Amino acid sequence: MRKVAVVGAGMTLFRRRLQETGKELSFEAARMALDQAGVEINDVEAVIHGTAPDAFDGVHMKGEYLADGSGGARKRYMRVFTGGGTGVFSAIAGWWHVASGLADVALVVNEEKMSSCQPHPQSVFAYIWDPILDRPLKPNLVWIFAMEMNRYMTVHKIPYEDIARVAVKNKRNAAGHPCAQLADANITLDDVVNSEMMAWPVRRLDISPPSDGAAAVVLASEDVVRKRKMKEHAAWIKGVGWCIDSTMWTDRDLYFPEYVARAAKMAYRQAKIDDPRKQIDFAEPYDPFDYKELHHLEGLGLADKGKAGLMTREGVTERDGDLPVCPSGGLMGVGNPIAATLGIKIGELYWQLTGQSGKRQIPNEVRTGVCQAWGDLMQFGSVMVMGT
Amino acid sequence: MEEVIPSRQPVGAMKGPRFVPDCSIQLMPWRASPVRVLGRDVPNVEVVSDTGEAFRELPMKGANFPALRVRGRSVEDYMQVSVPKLGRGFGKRGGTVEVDSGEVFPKDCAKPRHEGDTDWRDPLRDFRFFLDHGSGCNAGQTFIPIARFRRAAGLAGVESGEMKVGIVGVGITPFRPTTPEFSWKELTYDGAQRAYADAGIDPREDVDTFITCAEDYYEGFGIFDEFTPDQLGAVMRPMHTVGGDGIAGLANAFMIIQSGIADIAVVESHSKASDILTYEGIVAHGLDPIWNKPLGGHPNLIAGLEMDAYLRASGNTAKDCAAVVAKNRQAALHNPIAGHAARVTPEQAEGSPALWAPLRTLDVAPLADGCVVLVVAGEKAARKARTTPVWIRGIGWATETPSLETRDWTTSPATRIAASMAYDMAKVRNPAEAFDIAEIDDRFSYKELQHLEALGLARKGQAGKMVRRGDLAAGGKFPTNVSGGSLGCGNVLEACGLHRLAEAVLQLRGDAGSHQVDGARNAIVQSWRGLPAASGGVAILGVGK
Amino acid sequence: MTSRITKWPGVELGRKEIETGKVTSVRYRPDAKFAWSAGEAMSRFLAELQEGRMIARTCNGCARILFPPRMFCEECFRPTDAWVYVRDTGTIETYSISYLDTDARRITEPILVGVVSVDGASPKMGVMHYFGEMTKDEVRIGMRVKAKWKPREERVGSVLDIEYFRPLREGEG
Repeated sequence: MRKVAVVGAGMTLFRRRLQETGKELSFEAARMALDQAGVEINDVEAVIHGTAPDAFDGVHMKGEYLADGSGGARKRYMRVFTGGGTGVFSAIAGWWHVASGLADVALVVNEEKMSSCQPHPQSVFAYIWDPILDRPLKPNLVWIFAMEMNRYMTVHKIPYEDIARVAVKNKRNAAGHPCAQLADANITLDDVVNSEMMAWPVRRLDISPPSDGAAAVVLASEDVVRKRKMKEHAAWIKGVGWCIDSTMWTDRDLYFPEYVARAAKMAYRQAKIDDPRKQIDFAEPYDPFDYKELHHLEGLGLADKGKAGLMTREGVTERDGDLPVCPSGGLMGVGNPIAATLGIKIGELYWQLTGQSGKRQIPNEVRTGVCQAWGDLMQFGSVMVMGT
Repeated sequence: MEEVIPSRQPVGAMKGPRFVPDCSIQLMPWRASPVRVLGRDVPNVEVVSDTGEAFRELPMKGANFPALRVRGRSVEDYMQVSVPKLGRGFGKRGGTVEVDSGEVFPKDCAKPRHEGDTDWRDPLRDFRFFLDHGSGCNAGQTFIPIARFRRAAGLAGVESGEMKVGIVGVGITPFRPTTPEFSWKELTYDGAQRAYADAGIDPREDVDTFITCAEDYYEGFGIFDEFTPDQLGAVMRPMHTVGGDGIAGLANAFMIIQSGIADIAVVESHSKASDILTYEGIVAHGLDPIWNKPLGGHPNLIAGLEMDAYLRASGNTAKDCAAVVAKNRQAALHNPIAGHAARVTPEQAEGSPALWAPLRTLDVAPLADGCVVLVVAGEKAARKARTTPVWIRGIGWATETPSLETRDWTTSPATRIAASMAYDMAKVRNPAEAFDIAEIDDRFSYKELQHLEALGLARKGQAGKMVRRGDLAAGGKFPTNVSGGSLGCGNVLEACGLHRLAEAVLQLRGDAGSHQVDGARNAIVQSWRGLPAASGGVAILGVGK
Repeated sequence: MTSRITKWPGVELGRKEIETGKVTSVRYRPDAKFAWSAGEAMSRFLAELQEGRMIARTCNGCARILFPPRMFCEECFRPTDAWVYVRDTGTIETYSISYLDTDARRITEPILVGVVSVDGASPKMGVMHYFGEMTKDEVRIGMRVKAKWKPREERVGSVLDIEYFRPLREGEG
């Protein structure tokens, strides 16, 4: 199996509304990634695009629409889509383009323009539900997270404060991220605990915002890394995994993301990791809501079931802790332009492993990291392990 | 070294270590231009690429070639090709480089470029191929570089990518205009059952990865990916959605298997077009929101425009298109899964209302519901399958551009780029003679002709004559779309590419029953994503070792 | 990020700039209407709801009773075997107290919503629905509930034929 490395990354600001069109956002991120990697678009043999619901940008076959901005014109161009899981999954698709031998250099570009959707991107989430079983009840997206969070808290008797601490940690971490939308270096636990109740138990500051943004990474085979002397700014992909659970989410117990565990198992096996808690130095799990970070840490095998909250409480998951989690600031702090979270998952792993994270750099040496994205109806997990 | 650095940097002029991949040359059948050798025009030049493919057409302007035969004799040194005012050339070890004018190219290809450069002996390195869209050779002509592609596995000697991948199971539900008794889940379950029975596998035990080709707006959901696993047997398994057509899905299966993390993959796509109440609205929703949506109009206008441009440029006629309609609708009468088989005559087709002239209503493939599932396996697993594996000898896919304003309206570049990838991988030297059958997209009748020419299966302007001579019919010289195509079976949206793959697989296995083409061993399959996309794929299938 | 990157692309806009036309924008409403065939399983499910009953399918392969019903078992990947009625009582598996309506607008009277695992089906086989006749302080995971059906003449074959699930009373089920 050919080894594949991330050799450059780029991203735009994440903001609630950006002026640039989806094509322009894609171009900015792709251009930055190419410049950082030191390759030209003509060196790229395959372009993989990741973007979540077409309805946000308001264009059917959105992948086609964004192809030129993503550098995919007159090239092998592939769009993959796994809902929120696309943030990590498109890089996995990029990985197999190179690992299979069909490309030496691949460009992965993810974009999301949620602000196009009027009156509010929330409206799109009305259409993710089953038309017969769920939609007649006019569900709000926050409900399903609230139900999962409730189940998780109740089964494990986790106090709300342990969950709210994650929001505090991540929004503070995001103060070191130049693209962050919701960074707040001074946020306190009280701020979160007292924020507006949306759908119990979820409060306003537990939720990541809708965002516009784009991110891109450049992948290269080991031959290319060697010949072009890219080793100093290369981070290797050690393992990939993904898994999808049944559509029938009402038949599942939501307290544990089994699908994330299976995706992680697949990635860890490839990466030859059998004791993740010891062998993984830091993690970027998907945190669209604060409790999700804990939920996913347990799914990734980095915390025992029900115990992830303790780790936050004890400072284990701070940047200078034993297992830094979401040093980027995560979706909670930087923003949630769904697929473009590539920049704070894969991108963050890349920048941390190559020592380029600036103010967010983890002080201890990090050699192996895991990032994860989640999507669909509490259903899909994509996991990537990267290392030096 | 003195360098003139133009706005597009020739590779040789770059400083520092350069990325030097293996690459092969893809030459497209474009308009000929004179080749000058050492200052003199040379007619009748046969260009031979590194893989030995010979192209009869004269090469493109501004191209560099690794080897040229002049009047049948090979020329030892590399030639330079000079284009007035846009000189370019490169030299081989020991040879000289001459350029009429324009940029100076490095003369020192005969030594390492930089420390650690081990490729300097490779004559193909630094090869750059520029494509010219214009009709004249003018100074300042814009050149658009196209990607360089890996050589086929084996040529490149790459440790992965050498394993063959084959299709070992096919499931097709009968295509019908509506399927009210099935939900899309139940329809997909039906297709999947058939494919798994054909392959003799249990999806819960044997399949490593699942892929579906789907678009939210064809299904009417916000995140259609959610609704895909149960009916394929993919619950708690690796599965993903590709926003692309069936050949793109197959390409992913191919790559996942070749990367070593899966042995058996399943690719699915379906159409539940009958659930869409506003199909034209959905197609129109694919248009650019700033440039095109405000114009309104029926999206088939775009096909009408392209048909007009294509017929003028190629010299094929509307009568030829009507012959395609008749051929495919009638061929479908022999295909048990076809949804729109009918004894349509060319006169009927020509006489149907021209709602988007020159496109007529019968030139448009009617919609159908249906599901196609393929089971794909790596070599070891494929050889143990209960069916004869149909090998994927080559596969390619490409997108030209989403922009209607800047795209090529006549030659389907996406098809040409995808084809060259596939031909390169499959080491196809002469496409017109390499295949026994073709299954290519015909969602609009003129598309069959355009795609035949884009694939190099017909010379420019000849496809129409071929169909009218009967060359493309089941008993003809080059049976094309004997399945009945989309015109005869039905337009199953994103599943069209998978449908044609399935049809080709059945032909090559000898399982095509009433519409079997005897002795078919090699097939070419091509797909297009439909309006308003300029994207498609090409797959080359074969049976045998 | 690397100190090489000093400028991060993206021009931030506020809502006002779009509403007052300070930035050029194009508006479009897609013509996107769908009517999904319910298929065999859901059609029967909805017809039974209209009759005031909840129906499921059995799978002999894994010995489960699947609710909502489906014509194939996703675990065994085989067709399901038979129709079987389940009860309209169940247990709250999880819930939320929502101060947001479906368009993310704030409401003062919260909506109680959650998942009920249905008696008679395999464990955890559930359905999402509203809860009624209980306050936000009374609702809890593990509460036993029963469906409150709309009157026969108001039922149309929809999950809304049930108005909500309410606490199970003494002597019921």
